[in-house]
Amino acid sequence: MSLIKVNNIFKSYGPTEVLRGVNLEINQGAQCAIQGMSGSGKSTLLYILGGLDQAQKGEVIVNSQNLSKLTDEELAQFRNKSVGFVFQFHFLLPSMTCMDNILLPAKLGNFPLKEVKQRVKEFAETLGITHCLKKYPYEISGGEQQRVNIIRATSLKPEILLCDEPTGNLDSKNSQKVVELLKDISSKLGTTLLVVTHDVKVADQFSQKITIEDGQIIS
Amino acid sequence: MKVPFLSLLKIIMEGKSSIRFLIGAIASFAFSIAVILCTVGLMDGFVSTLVTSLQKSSSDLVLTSRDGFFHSNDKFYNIENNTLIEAITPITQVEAFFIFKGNSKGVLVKGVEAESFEKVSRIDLDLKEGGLVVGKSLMESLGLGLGDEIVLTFASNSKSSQGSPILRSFTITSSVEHGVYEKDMRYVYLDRMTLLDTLNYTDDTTNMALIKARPYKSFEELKAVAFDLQSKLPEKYKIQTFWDEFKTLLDAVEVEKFSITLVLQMIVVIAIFNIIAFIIYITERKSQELFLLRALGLNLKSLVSFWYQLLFGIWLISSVLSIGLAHIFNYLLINLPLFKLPGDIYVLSRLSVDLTVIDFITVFGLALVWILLIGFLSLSRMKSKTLLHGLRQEFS
Repeated sequence: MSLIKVNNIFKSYGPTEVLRGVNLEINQGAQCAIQGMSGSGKSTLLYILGGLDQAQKGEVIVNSQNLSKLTDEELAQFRNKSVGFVFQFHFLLPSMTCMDNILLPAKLGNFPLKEVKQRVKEFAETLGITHCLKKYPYEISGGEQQRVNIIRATSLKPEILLCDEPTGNLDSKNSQKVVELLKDISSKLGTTLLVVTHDVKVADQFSQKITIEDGQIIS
Repeated sequence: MKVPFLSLLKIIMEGKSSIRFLIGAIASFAFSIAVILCTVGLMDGFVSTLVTSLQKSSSDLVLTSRDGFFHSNDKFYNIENNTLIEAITPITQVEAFFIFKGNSKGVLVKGVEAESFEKVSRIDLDLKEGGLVVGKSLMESLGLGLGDEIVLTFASNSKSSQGSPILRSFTITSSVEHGVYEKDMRYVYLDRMTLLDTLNYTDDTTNMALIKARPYKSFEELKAVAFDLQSKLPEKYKIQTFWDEFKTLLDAVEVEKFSITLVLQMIVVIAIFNIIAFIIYITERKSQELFLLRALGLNLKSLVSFWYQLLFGIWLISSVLSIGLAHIFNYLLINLPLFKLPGDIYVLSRLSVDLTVIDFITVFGLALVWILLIGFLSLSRMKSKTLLHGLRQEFS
């Protein structure tokens, strides 16, 4: 059963066409890599799927919801409850401890903090970063920051986990580990995983791959 | 999904640096508002202090005669029965030389009846027999102290001894402060009967009377009382309001007030720039948080509501703080020697901050308009950026 259905979407920034008639279907629980060269439009597609950006033409249906028809409030709710983002740049606020950064989506969505905190501690233990929770982002390494980022994205058990170049700042050893972690978490939570990457080695770790070139899906 | 203001505030203000930043921002904003408040207050304070000081020593109305001297038992005293008048006191005033340890100075000696004078002028004079009360600035300029003996030299009005002055020594029993430099430097008070005896004048000789009117609401009302009294008196008498004596000075003050207002506009402009800089800074400083929160599920409605509530809260706290700062400034202005004005130039020896409700409403209202306007522009700028663009820009 398809969770995400993309019908002929177009997106351009000024005169530059970034997506040109993209069609796509992704099943619930799938683990999929979206690969392509820099500037091919893969990140834009990911952000449109996550409700961070909107297509100018076409429709994106996620879990029977047409994203282009949602109000700002409904889109915000969708981003908070249904989607987890793992960004290339970790986007952790330097003024907050890692734990506070992780709890941000829960606080925004008024989730029971006690329950979420417990889950976060379990994830942190699994990922080996329990010692980082009370620290500030600048006090931990790049790999640890990325794992904090992953816990924040999965802390509310979202239906979809969207990752934009999650290994972009990591060496090959850590890259492999992070991808394995993402797949593992996705399997455990039953979350659909979409990973955008330009790295062929990373893409090769996924059985389902989508290749995008010049704003169009070619395979 | 509405995010309550306090929850959002807790998120945004998480961490010591954010709290320190907020405190700094509020302090800066409060200081800017206080500067504007004090500037406005000083302008008003200059005039009101001068008017109050003039009123303190001259009461509401001054009665004189075109003939100079007149008799205090003259029928003009019938005006006492006028329902518009609360009290009246006769004064005999002459010019004299004040001599102390070889120094002399021209003074205006005022012979007063202490009890009725206090009722009219609100100045309580400790006039003992053989004693005199001296203006504070005169005391300071001649280095006088309480208990010092001085000599007053009066012109003689006797034909036989014309050209020979009348000399009489007195002991300084206390000093008096009118609040107007000229008066503090020139006025010397004596018991009226003592003065009349010294000058060999009859008991009812006087050349001035101070009148305290019934409570009135405006100076216009007092002017009407003066007009009413004038119409009831013989033509030789003249009734003047307390500010008439210093009318030229008050006119000059108005001109000076305008000039100072122009000069102080610079301070106001700087304070406004400070406010603008602070709002732009808070927007830039917090936009990282705001973009991330938007990405993680904060809706625009909650963001806009939070943003305006935050700015309103900052304005409110800053406004309250600025009142405190203005009071501190006023206290220092009144009590610190550093802030003492050169009285011979500014007439007053002290200035104070005098703020009316209108002043507060204007300054606070304008500060609110500024903060909301810049807040609106900042928010529009933030809204014009896509989430993606904002995130990438803020975290790059």
